[in-house]
Amino acid sequence: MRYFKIKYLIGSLFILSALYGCKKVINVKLDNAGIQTVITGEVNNDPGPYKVNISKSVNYSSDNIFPPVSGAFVTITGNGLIDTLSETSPGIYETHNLLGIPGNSYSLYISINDTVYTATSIMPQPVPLDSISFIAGRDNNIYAVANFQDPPGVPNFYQFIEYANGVRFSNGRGNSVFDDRLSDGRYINRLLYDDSTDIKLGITLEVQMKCIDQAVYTYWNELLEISGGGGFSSPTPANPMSNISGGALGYFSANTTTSRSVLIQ
Amino acid sequence: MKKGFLLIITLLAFNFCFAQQKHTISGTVKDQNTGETLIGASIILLENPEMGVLSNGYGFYSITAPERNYTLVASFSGYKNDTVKVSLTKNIMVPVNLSPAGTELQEVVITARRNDNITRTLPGMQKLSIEEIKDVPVIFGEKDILKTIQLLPGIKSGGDGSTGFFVRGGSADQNLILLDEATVYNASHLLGFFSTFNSDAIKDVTIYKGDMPAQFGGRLSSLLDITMKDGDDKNYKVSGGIGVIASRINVEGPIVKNKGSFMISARRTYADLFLKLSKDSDVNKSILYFYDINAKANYQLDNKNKLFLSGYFGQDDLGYSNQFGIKWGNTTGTFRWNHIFNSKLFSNTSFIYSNYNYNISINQTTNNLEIISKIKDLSLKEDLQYFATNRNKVNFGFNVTRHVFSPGEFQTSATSSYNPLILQDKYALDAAAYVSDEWSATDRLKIISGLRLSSFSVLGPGNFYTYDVYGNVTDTATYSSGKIVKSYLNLQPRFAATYLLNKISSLKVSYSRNVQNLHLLSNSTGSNPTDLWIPSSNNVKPEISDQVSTGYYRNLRNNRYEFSAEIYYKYLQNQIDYKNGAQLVANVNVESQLLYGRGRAYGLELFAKKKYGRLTGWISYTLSRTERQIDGINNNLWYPATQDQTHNVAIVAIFKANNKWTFSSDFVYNTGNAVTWPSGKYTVNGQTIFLYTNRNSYRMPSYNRLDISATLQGRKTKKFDGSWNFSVYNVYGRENPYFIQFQNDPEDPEKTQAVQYSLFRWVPSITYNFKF
Repeated sequence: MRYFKIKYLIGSLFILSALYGCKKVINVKLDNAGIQTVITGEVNNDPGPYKVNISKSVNYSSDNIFPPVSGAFVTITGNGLIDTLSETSPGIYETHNLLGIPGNSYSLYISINDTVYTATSIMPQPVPLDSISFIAGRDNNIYAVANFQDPPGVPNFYQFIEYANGVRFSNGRGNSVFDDRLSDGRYINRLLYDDSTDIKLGITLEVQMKCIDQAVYTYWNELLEISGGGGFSSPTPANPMSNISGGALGYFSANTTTSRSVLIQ
Repeated sequence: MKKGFLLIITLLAFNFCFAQQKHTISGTVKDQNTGETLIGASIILLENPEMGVLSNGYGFYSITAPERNYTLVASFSGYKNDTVKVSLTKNIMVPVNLSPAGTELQEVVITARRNDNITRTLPGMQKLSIEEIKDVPVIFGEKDILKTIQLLPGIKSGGDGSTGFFVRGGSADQNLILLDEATVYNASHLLGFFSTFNSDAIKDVTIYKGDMPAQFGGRLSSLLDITMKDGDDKNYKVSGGIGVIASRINVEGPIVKNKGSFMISARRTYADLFLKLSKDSDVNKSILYFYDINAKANYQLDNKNKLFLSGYFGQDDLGYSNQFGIKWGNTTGTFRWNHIFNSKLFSNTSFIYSNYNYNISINQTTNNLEIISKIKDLSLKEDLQYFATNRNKVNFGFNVTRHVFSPGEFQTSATSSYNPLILQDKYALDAAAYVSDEWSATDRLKIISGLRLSSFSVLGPGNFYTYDVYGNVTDTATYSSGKIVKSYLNLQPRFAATYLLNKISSLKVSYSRNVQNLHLLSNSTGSNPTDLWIPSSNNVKPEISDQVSTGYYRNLRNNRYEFSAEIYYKYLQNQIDYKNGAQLVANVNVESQLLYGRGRAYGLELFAKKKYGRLTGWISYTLSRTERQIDGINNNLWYPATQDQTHNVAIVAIFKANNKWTFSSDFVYNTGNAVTWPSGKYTVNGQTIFLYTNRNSYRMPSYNRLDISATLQGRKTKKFDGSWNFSVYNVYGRENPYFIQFQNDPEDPEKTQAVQYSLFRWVPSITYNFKF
């Protein structure tokens, strides 16, 4: 029930169990997973430079400090040219002259100590974001609604990213995806579930709407499904399917971006 | 099919040869006071006690013996024995009426102390009387069959307070739940906290843990056969109960005295009244309730013909503010005709209707959306019992069911963000024929052998797709109405043997194959009313299970105590799981989202029960393992299924202190379910994401709980009988884990933490029950 968040159902259930339920922090003993390479990279239709991040995973019991991977050889190929990225700070690599063009295909190549990772993503055509409106949610929360026309006849995949006063919401909040499988050609009012931690009176909210390709949509969709951390009624968690071959975690996305900003009064 | 009929004919011919010079006594066993037929009452002829028989599901019995005078003794647990002198010179009908033994008299009157558990042939079968269910404490004080059976060995609970259950490592959808022969697709109310069965309306509950009679089929793991009460055909009666969460009322009485009766039972919860207390306007505008109605009527046309009409209607309504609502419900109807062809041949013909539907409405900004989904079954069933000789009883028959699945109809307004959509209906024809023979080979050895032949056909109209390994459509075939798209024919042998070591102990062994053609898709761990049932198809193969089991059974101290030990091994084929991020909702290509594999389950089940006396109860222990191997999951290696619980213990005790007070309690302990927890973590754009390795390689903390209950019987008069029931669920308030969530520590973002959520602690309830 991804579309019509089963959340509501669960909400109602917890109204009932709130009479009895409780929660507490517990200690669990977890095994150590093998350390893995994590790659995140994006190319879009705004002027560059575009960035690729490379880091490592850590054991569950470690602090949330993720070691960057330096010294990698990174290229992005597109529009008939190869751009070799430079490491501007540890683990962060930037392009020089690449410019994203909708409809074109972009390929990422990374070599770290003889291990090669590759990925390809096709930049979809942009869809304009018309406006942002708001509705009142539960507990005085304000939910933003993204309004736009879905182009008929083609599958479209969207990602929404939210910023408050120019700063991205922290810890993965304000990131959601939507596909037009059941909405092709409709005028869409997409409700973005936010909470009062992020959206308050007086801030300027920016919503970025990205058109992403199917593999990247699949990645985000699966990632968002597990990022609740395994709550009630969630499916058995598994690592999201990456579009990067070679055994890395993460994604490589060529996307187009349109955005709108609104002052919340 | 042909083979089956040949077998029947051979068996019949064989039996006729030996049936000469003998006559048959037949009849129906009933409760003297209410006319309720008694299922499984024992009938013996004192002069020839080895020739015992049991009354069938409609109280009918048939016993054949050589010409002479006999003393027929009928007995049934909780009733006084009845003795009838019979002079057997021709086939005769002997109706038997037993009077209840009254609880306070139980120690004085020696009621039938039965040893059915020793002699009956199928291992893994268990009966619960409504009397037993009545005294076991459950959450919210609402007596519940589905929660009580979870206290039996080999049956695991779907979670705290849940009516969902798993039998011998099977999935929740592998239980066949029949209410007066009609399939109940969703046996739960309020997301699983209540079962759809109102125990006021129930007469008999039998569960078969995989070795079901050949008459039944269609699910792999178990059969839960529930029979509704017929109703009192002598007096009008009203009974009911008023509880904290729900109230219920039951009315029964004669239609024509001694000839026909009716029973209507209704129940409604009012949990939503609590919501009204909330100050939050979204919460106090929410809806949360269910109601259900059971009704049954029967009429005896003459000595040989009896008609039954029974039905169930239940509805859940759950709404959050004005924004979201979901309603779901089952409707079943059964029309039955019992016909006694002659003293040896009993027939029952049933027409059965079953419907399950849900309806979701969403109302947010301009996004109006309504989703309607249903399953409709129409069945004809013919069951014949031929009491060939006392040593040989043959059951045979057939059934045909037409399924119509409407997986989803989306209605949207013009301004909605969603397109209207109607997923094509799916049609299937399910047919089976069976024959089974219960044969007492010697006085010590009993053998049941059966064969069930089932055919399942997916029918047009519609488009049927073929997929490659990535789930892309490679071929589309269009079929017109009624055209067979795909048929599956499965032969299901069933075999069971009992060897009596002596009067108080026996050994049993069995093998059975079951086939399942309806599959429930649910990619979440909880039970949702929107979980999707799909039929076998060109892509989805029938699920198959093979189970072997064996057991040792022994009674002690004149059948006062019973003990059993059973072991089983079950192998499952064509089990279904889902790809990561599977889209199960409103997906024409839902079959492209599935993965297939195998399962195996094995275990040991110990059970000890004290059946009579002031203190009754049981102890059950299960040691088991349940595993799955699905291509595409866990690197194709075997992994523990979610419901794999190594140890499972239940203790139930009921103590009748005096005529006024009855105390009862139950204790459960089990190993935690297998779960998938993270073994590492990494960052994606500043968000901490957990890294998972092997499927279900961790264990939830173990579960344990004690419940107590006390019943105070008020003064009983001829006209009125009232009692109070007080109970506390989870007396010592253990915080049993319901789920565990991993997250960043809000105090220290450098760290992660595991948060355990628990549901029910110290849930008290009071119920007042009355009868007049």
